Amino acid sequence: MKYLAAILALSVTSLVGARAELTVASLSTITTDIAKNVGGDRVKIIPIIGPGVDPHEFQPSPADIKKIVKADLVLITGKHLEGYLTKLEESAGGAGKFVDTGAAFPSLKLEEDGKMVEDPHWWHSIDNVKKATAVVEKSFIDADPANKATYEKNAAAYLAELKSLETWAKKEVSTLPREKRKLVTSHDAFQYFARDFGFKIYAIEGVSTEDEPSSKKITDLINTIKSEGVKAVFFESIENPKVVTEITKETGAKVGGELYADGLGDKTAATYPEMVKYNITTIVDSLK
Amino acid sequence: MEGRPWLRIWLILLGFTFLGLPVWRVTHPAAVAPPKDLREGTITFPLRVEVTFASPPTSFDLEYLGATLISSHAPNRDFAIDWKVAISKEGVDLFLSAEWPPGTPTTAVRVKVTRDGSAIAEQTFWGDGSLAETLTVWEPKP
Ligand SMILES: [Zn+2]
Repeated sequence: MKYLAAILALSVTSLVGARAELTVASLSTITTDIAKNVGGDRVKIIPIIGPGVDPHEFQPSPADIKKIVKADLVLITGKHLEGYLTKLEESAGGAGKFVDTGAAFPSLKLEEDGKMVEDPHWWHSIDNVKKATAVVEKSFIDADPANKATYEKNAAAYLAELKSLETWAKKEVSTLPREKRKLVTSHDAFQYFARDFGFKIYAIEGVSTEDEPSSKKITDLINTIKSEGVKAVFFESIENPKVVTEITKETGAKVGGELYADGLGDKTAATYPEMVKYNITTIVDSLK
Repeated sequence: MEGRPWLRIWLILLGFTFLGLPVWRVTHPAAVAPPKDLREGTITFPLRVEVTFASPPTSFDLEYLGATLISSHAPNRDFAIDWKVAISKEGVDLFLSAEWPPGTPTTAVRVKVTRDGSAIAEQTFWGDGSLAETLTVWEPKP
């Protein structure tokens, strides 16, 4: 009888071990990708924001809030990207299960309407994503210590992938002369990328996609593109490319292509490494 | 011929054109394309790059704009190369990558760029099994 009970207990344990233990809601496509890699089959991910959704304008629906309330952990981008966070925390019964992945590293500060604001687009620095991965790993281990070894192993594998991605990115960008590293984008989302890879950014809109550029700003930008000899202007997967097309007509610069500024896509940039490779290849090829 | 002075004038003009064109070409040479790295607003500097490893790597590559300056698969500690480069006001990037044998603890690489014996760029990088880093070299101050 004792023997039978032991076998039964063993099979129950192995069944439990194989299925997802943690339910994790994610408020960004980037944190979803990190969570998938670190959690593997031990975590059930609920992506609240999917590919192609503008995180600057997103507001959670009652159905989203229901999912968030049920989740064990909620991964956020932080740096004030989730403007609805305080209300969401209140609805979800407190801030305890919210994991701020952007809190692991310092913010870049940008001027917006005369005041300094935190730049939330930290995922355009691969080094920041490595640090965010460590935050996710720790939160999973704290919430589910029984699967510590699995989370550690998965995180180490993902960090190794990010390290080789970083090597590829540095090598690729190094083929572009520094004087050509001038990036004209729809909104100001690439400052972390610029810091890491020696680019100068000229953005049509501000830090948020909600900002409308003034006609003076567009005129100034056109003059800058002409005087700096910028070869290409890029639009974004989420944004309307109309203004970009107008600027290229005025300046003679070409349309460099589409960049993933605010998160992953569903085809060519379905994972974080794919997004980085897609963006960097598009930028380097167009500006060379 | 004598009865056709306009034909004589025309032939003289034709002769001038044929003779004059090569002369004009010599005195007005077509713009010659500058050397590839001689970009606008840049000056070419003769430099020396020295790379010193604390622990010899299994492979080491030094590149500039995708072109190889040094490529080694021998376990050496010291590398050096003379390098002539046009530097714009934005500077130029040297890309270095290296790999060490498995199990090598974190180790250091010193990269030094000199002009006439004086260092114009110098940095230590840390490698953990492998390394991929960029060193920016700015235009030397006169
Ligand atoms: Zn954005």
